[in-house]
Amino acid sequence: MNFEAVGLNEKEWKSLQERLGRLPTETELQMIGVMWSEHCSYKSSKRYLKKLITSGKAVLQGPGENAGLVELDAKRAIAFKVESHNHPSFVEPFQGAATGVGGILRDIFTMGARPIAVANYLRFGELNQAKHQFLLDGVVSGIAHYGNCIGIPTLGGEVKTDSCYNGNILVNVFALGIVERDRIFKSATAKPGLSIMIWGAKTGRDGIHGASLLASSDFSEDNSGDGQKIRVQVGDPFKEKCLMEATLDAMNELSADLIAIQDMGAAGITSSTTEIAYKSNVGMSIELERVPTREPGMKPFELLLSESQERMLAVVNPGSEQKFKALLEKWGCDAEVIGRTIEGDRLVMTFNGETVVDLPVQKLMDPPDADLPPPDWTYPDVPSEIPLPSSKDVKDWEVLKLLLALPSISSKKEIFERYDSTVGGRTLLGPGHDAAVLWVGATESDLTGVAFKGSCNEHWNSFDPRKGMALSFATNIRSLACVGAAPLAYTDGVNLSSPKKSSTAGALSLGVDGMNDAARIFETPCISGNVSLYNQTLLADGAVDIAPTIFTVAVGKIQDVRKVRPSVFQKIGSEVWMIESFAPTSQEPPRGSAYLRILGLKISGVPAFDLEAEKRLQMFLLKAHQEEMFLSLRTVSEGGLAVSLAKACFGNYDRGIFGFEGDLLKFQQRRDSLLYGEAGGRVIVELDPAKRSDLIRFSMESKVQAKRLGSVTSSGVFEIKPFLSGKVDELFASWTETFR
Amino acid sequence: MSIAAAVIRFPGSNCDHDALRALQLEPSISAKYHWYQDKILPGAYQLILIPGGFSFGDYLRAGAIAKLSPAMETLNTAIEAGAHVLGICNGFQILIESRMLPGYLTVNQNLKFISRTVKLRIEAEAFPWIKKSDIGSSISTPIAHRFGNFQAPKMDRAELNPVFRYEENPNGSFEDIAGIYRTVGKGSVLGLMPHPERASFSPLRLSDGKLFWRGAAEALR
Repeated sequence: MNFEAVGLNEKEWKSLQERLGRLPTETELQMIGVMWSEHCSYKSSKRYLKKLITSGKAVLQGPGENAGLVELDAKRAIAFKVESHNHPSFVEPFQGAATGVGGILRDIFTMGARPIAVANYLRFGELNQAKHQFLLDGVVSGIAHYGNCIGIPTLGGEVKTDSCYNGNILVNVFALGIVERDRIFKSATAKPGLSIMIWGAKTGRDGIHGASLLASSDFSEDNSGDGQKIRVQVGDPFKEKCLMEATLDAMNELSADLIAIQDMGAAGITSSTTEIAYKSNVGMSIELERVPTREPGMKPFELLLSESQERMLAVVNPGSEQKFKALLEKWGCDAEVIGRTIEGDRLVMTFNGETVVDLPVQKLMDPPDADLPPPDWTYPDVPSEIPLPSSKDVKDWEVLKLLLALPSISSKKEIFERYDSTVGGRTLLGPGHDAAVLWVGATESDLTGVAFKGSCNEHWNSFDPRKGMALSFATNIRSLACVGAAPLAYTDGVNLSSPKKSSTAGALSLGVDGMNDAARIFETPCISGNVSLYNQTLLADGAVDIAPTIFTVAVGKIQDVRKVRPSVFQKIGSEVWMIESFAPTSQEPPRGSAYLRILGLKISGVPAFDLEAEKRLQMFLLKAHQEEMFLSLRTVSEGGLAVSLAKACFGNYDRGIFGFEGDLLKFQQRRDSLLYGEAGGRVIVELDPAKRSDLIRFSMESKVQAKRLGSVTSSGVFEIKPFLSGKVDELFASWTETFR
Repeated sequence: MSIAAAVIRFPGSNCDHDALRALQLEPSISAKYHWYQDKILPGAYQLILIPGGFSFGDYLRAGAIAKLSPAMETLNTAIEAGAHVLGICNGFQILIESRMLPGYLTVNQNLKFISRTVKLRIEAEAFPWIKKSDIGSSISTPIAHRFGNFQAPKMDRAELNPVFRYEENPNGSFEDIAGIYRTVGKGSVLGLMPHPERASFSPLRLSDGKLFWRGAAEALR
C-alpha cells in the first residue's frame, strides 16, 4: 500500500497497522492520512501549545472546540478564534482567502454564536513584484467578496510585507461572535442512539487533500503551480449565509433536539465524524451513499476527503429529523440523515451495503509522536553598539516620510474601503483605528462594548521570539486600554516554517514562553488558536523560511462605550502629552525599530520594555478612560513617537485639518530613539488644557510619567523642535502613496 | 394602534437585523420580518422595508432574482393600497430592478466596493420618512456597495424626484443622486443607496438615521 501518497511516514504506517491489527482498507488509509496530517492533528506543535495558559475566571471554553468562549455578562458569551489559510491563498488568492473567511465564520456559528466581526492579519512578499501585487489584490478581493456578501463587518487588521514571504504569503483570519449562554453548542456532547445529519451544500470533488497535502507540506518549485489548484476549495458566501441563518434558527427553535454539532472544514466528513465520535466518546454508523452529492460517481474516499465548503455535521434526537430538514430547506440548504451514533468506539461506514471503513476512533485519533529535532534557537548577530547617524547624513523629515510610506505603517484606506465595515450597526471604531470597537448592547441603554486588537512584529521574533511575542502581546493590551477595554482572553495564530527544523521548534517554544509571560501579567488566557507549519519555499539554492510570525489577537470588554475616545486629534488648541511607564537608558539605540530597518539593519534586537511597567500603564489608561480624562489617545508603536504624532494629525482617513507643534529639546534621550524608537510602555494623549493638573496628579498616583510634548494647531505644520518641521500635507501624501 | 411595519427578508438579506432594530427604536412602530416567499396582503403593513444585502447572492445581477418572489410580486398592490416602501442599498436595487423606481444602478466609477461614511443633503420631502422641515439639512450615513452608481436615461429624468444628494459624490452617480422617491396610489416608494439604519443608534455617535424612523412614527400617528 502506498502510505506515502496519503502523507504518512514509515513510523506512522507501522503504528497504524499495530493499532488496527490488520492492514487498513484503501479508504481507511485515505482517512488516516488526513486525520494524522499536521493540519488536523497538530502532531508537531501540540507538545509546545499545551504549555499555553488557558484558564481564567472568564473562560467558558478553552482550546479544543470549534472556537473558544469567554463570559461577556451573566447572559452572554463571546466566541472567537483565528485561523490560517496561507497555502491555499498562495495557490489561488481569491478563493483561498474567501474560504478562509468562510471557515472561521463556521467555527463561530457552530458554537451558537452570531458572528459580528472579522479581521485579517496578512503578510505578502515585496510589492515591487508583480506576483505580490496580484496576490494582494486577490486576497483583498476574496475577503471583501465573502465578508461583504455574508454581511459580517470586516474591521481591518494588519497588512505587512517582507521578502521572507516572497514564496509563502500569510492569510490569517479572525472572527468574533456573540452567543446567549443558554444556547451554546458543542461537538463533545453527542450520545449513542441519535441521528447524524449532514446540512448545507452538496458534496463535490473540490479541496480533496487540501489539509493533508497542501497545508501540511511546503511549496517546492514543482508543486506550487497549477497542480495544487484542485486542492483549493471554492466558496459560496450566499450558501454560507443561508447555512448560518438556518443553523442559528435551528439552535433557537429546536435547541432541545440538537445535541451536538461540528462544522466541516479541513478533511470534511472525515474530520467532523471523527471529532464528534472522539470527543463525545461514541461510535458511529454512516451510510455514505446518503450524502447529497454535486456530481455522480463519487467514490467513498472522495466523499470522505472532500472539502466542499458550507457544510455541517449535526447529531439530533431521533424523530426530530423532519423538523430540521424543513427548517434547513426553508433556507435552501440540503439536510439528510446519513447515519446514527452507536455505543462503543467504532466508526463504521458503508457504501451501498459494503463496509468500507471500520475504525476504532479512540485508538486512532492521535498519531504517534512525530520524531522531531529538539528545539533550538540561535540568536542572530546584532551589533552591540549602533552609532547615531549625524543629522547631516540622515534628514529626519525625510526619514519620517519614508517611515509613513512603509506598507505596515501607511494608510490602508484603499484596502479597507473595499470591506463593508459598518454592516450590523455595531461598529464604533472600524478599520484604521488603534483597536476595533463594537457596541454590543441589545438596546440603546445597554452601553457594553467589545474591543479587539491583533498584531505581530516578526522582525522582533526573528531575533528573540520570547521577548518579541511578549512585547507584541503588551502592545495589543495597550491598544485595548487606550479604548478603555479590559482584556478577557486572546487567540493565537502561529505561522512557522518546517517542524523538521530545530529552529522552528525553538521559535514555537520561545514564542509560547513569551505569550505566557505576558498572559500571566495581564491575566489574559488563550482560548483558541491555529497553527500553520511548512511556511517556507524550497528553491534550487535552498529553503527560504518565513520569519516566526505568531499573531495574537486580544479581546476586551468596555463597560460604557460613550467613554471610548478615538486615536486621532480632535480639537485645535489642546495639549499633547506622552505617558510613559518605562524609560530606557538615554543612550539606548532604537533596537527593533522600523527606522533601523530602513537604514538597512533588518534584525537589530527587540525594543526595550518591561511588562510590569506595561501593567502600570494599562491600569492608568483604564482609570483615565473611566474619568474621561482625554480627548484622543494612541499607542506609540511601529515607527515610534514621530509616526504616532503624524498619524494623529491625519484624521482617520481624510486629509487632516490638524497640525502639531512640539518641542523635545529638553528630552535627554538620543535623537533617533526619541523620535523613532519603539520601546514599550508609551502612549500619546490629547488633553484639554484645563485638565492639566488632574493629569499630573493622576499620573503620579499611577506611577507613570506624564511629559508635555506640544499642542494641536490649525497651522497645517508638523514641527518637532529642534529636529524636524514641514507641511502636514507632505506627510499625508507619503502616508497615502503606498496602497493606491 | 401601533404602526404595522415589515422588513422583507430574502435569504441573502444581511441588513435585515439592523433594519428591524432601527424600526423598533420607535415605540409606536411594531416591526417584524416578512419572508420573501409569502405574499404581502394589501393593508397588512403601513411601512415596508427592503433591507440591504445580496438577496440571492447576486451572482446574476443585484435584485434580478428577488423581483420574481411572491413578496415582490404582491408589493405593488400593497403600495397602491397605502403601504410606504423604503428600499435601502440592495433594497433600492430590487425596487429599480422591479421598475418601481426609475433609472438604473451600475458599478461604481472606481469599479470597487466602497465602504465609508458620507454626507447627504436632503432636498425634498418623502412622506412619511422625510418631513418638509428636514429639507436643507445634512445627514451622515455609511455607504457600502459596489453597484451604487445611479444613472437615469433621458426618458426617466422627468420623474426622478431626488430626495438625497451626496455632498461628495463617491460612486459617479448622476447629479450626485443618492436616493429617489415616488408616490403610487395611496402609498409611496423611497429608495437610497446609503444606510440610515446603520446610523440609528446613539451609542455609535452616528445616529442621523433616526430621522427616518421618527419621521414615519410621527407622520403616521
